[in-house]
Amino acid sequence: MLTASIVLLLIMLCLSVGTLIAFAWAASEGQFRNPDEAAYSIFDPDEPVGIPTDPNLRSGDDERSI
Amino acid sequence: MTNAPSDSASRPTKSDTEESLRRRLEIDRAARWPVGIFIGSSLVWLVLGSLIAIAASIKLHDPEFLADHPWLTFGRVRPAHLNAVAYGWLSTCGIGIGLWILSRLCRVPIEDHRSLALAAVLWNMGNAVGIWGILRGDSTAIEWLEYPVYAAPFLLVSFAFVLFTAINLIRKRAPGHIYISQWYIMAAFFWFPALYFTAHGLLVLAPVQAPAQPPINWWYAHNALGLWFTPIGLGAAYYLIPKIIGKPIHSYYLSIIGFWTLAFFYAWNGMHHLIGGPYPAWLITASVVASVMMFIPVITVAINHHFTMVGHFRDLLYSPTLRFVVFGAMAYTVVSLQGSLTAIREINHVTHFTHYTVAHAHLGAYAFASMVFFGAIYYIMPRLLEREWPSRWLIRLHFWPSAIGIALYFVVLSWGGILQGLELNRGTTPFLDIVARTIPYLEWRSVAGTLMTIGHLALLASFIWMLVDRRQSGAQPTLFAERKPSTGAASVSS
Repeated sequence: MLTASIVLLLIMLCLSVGTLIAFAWAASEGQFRNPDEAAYSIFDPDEPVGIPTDPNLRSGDDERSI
Repeated sequence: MTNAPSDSASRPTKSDTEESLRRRLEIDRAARWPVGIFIGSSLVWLVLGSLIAIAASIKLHDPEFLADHPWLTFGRVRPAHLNAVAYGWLSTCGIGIGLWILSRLCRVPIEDHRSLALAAVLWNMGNAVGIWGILRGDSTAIEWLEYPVYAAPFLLVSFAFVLFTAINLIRKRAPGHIYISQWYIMAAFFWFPALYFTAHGLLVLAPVQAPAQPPINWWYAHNALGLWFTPIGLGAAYYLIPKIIGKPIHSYYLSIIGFWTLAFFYAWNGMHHLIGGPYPAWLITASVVASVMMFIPVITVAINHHFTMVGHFRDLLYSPTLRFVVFGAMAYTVVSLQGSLTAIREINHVTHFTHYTVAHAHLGAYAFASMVFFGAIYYIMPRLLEREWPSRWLIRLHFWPSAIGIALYFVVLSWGGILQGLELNRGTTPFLDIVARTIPYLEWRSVAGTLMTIGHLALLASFIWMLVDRRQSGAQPTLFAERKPSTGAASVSS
C-alpha cells in the first residue's frame, strides 16, 4: 500500500512539475502578455472577427462561402 | 472583457483574404482522411456502445433478458459499453477533433496524413480487439481498464503517431500566441498516454498488491474524464463558440486561469471515490480539497462561455453546432459543480454506491463531452468534405432525443440514487427491498438510453448520407431553420 501511494504520489508530482515547467515556459515566451491579442488569434482575414462562420447567421452583407 | 487589439481594426486586403482562404482549404484537405476516419469510426462505436448499453440497462430491471448467451451477460456487456464509448467513441472522436483544431489554430496542414490515417485504423483495431476480448470473457475486471492486455499495443502505437503529429503541429505553428484551445488540446494529448499507460502498467501488466489497486484505479478513471475528455471538450468549445458567432471570448484572462488551475488541481481529484475506504485520511482529504478547488476553473469557464454568448442566444435557434456546444458547455458547469459538492464527505456518504454516481458520470461524459463533440462534428465535417449536411430533419432527430434522453436519464437516476442512498444509510430496510424500489428508476433509464440511441442512429444516418451523396455541395450550411438576412425574420421550427 505504501509503495503504491509513493508511486502515485511520484506520478502526480511528475505531472505537477511538468505543468510547472510548461507554465514557466509560457511565461518566459510572453504567452501571458497582451491576452486580448490572443483572444483574436482564432480569426483570419477570410474569417474575420464580427463575421459568423455559418453564413446564414450573418447580417446579410457578406457573400463569402466556405 | 476582451478589447480589440489596435491592429485588428485595419481591414485585410483582398490578397490577404484569398491567401488565408487558400491556406484554410489546404489545412482542411490535409486533415480530410485522418480526421475523417477518426470521426467516422467513432460514430460506429457510438452506435454499437449505445446498443450494448440498452442491453445492459434492460438487464438491471429484467435480469432474464439475453441471459442465455454468455457473451451477452451483464458482467460482459456493461464493461463492453463503458469501453466502447470511452475509447471507441469519445477518445476516437476526441483525437479527430483535437487534431483538426490544432491544425487550424497552428495554421499548419497535417503533413503525414497517410501515417495518421494508418494510426486511426490501428486505434480502431485496438478497440475492436478490446471489445471482442471483453465480450468473450477476457476482461481485466478493472473499471475503465477492462480491455485485455493484448489490445494495449494497438492503442500505444496508434497514440504515438497521434502525439507525434500533435507535437509537429505545435512545433511548426505560426508565430504568435498559443490560443487557449491549443493549450487544452495539447495538454490532453500529453496527459492521456501518461495516465493510461501508467495505470495499465501498475494494474494490468505488473499489478501492485490488491489493496493498493483502487487508489490507482480511481486516480486513472477520474482523470480520464477530467484530463482527457474535458480538455478536448473545453478546447473545442473555446474555439467553436467564438468562431461561429464571430466574437472573441469574453475574457482571455479568465480562460488562462481556468486552464492552469485545471492543470494544477485536477490530477489530485480521483481519491474522493474512496471516501469511507481503508485508505490514509490525508490521501482522501487532499483529494477532497483539490475537488473543491475545481470551483475556480469551472466558474471561469462558465463566466466566459455565458458572457461570450450574450447577444447571440438567438443563434441557438439556427446553428446545430452552436446549440450542441452551448448545451455541452452548460452541462460542464453543472457536472463540475456537482462533482465538487459530491466530493464533500457528508454528501458522498449518501450518494456513493448508488445510481446517483452513474447519473453524474453520464452528465459529464454525455451531456458535456459528447454534446460538445456532436457540435464539433457538425462544424468540422462540412469543411473536411466540402459538402453540407444533407438533412436538417435528421439533425433535429439527433438533437432532441439526445437532449431529452440525457435530461431524463440524469433526473431519474439522481433522484432514485439519493433515495437509494438514504435508505441504505438508514439500515432498517432489507437490502433487496431497496433494490426492488430502484426498479422504476431503472426502467426510465432504459427509456432515456433508447432516446439517446435514436439520436445516435440519426447522426450516423446523416453522416453516411453525407458521405455517399456527392450532390450535397452547397455553400449554405444546413441550419435548424432558415434565416432571412435582410429583415432578421426567421422561419423557426426547431
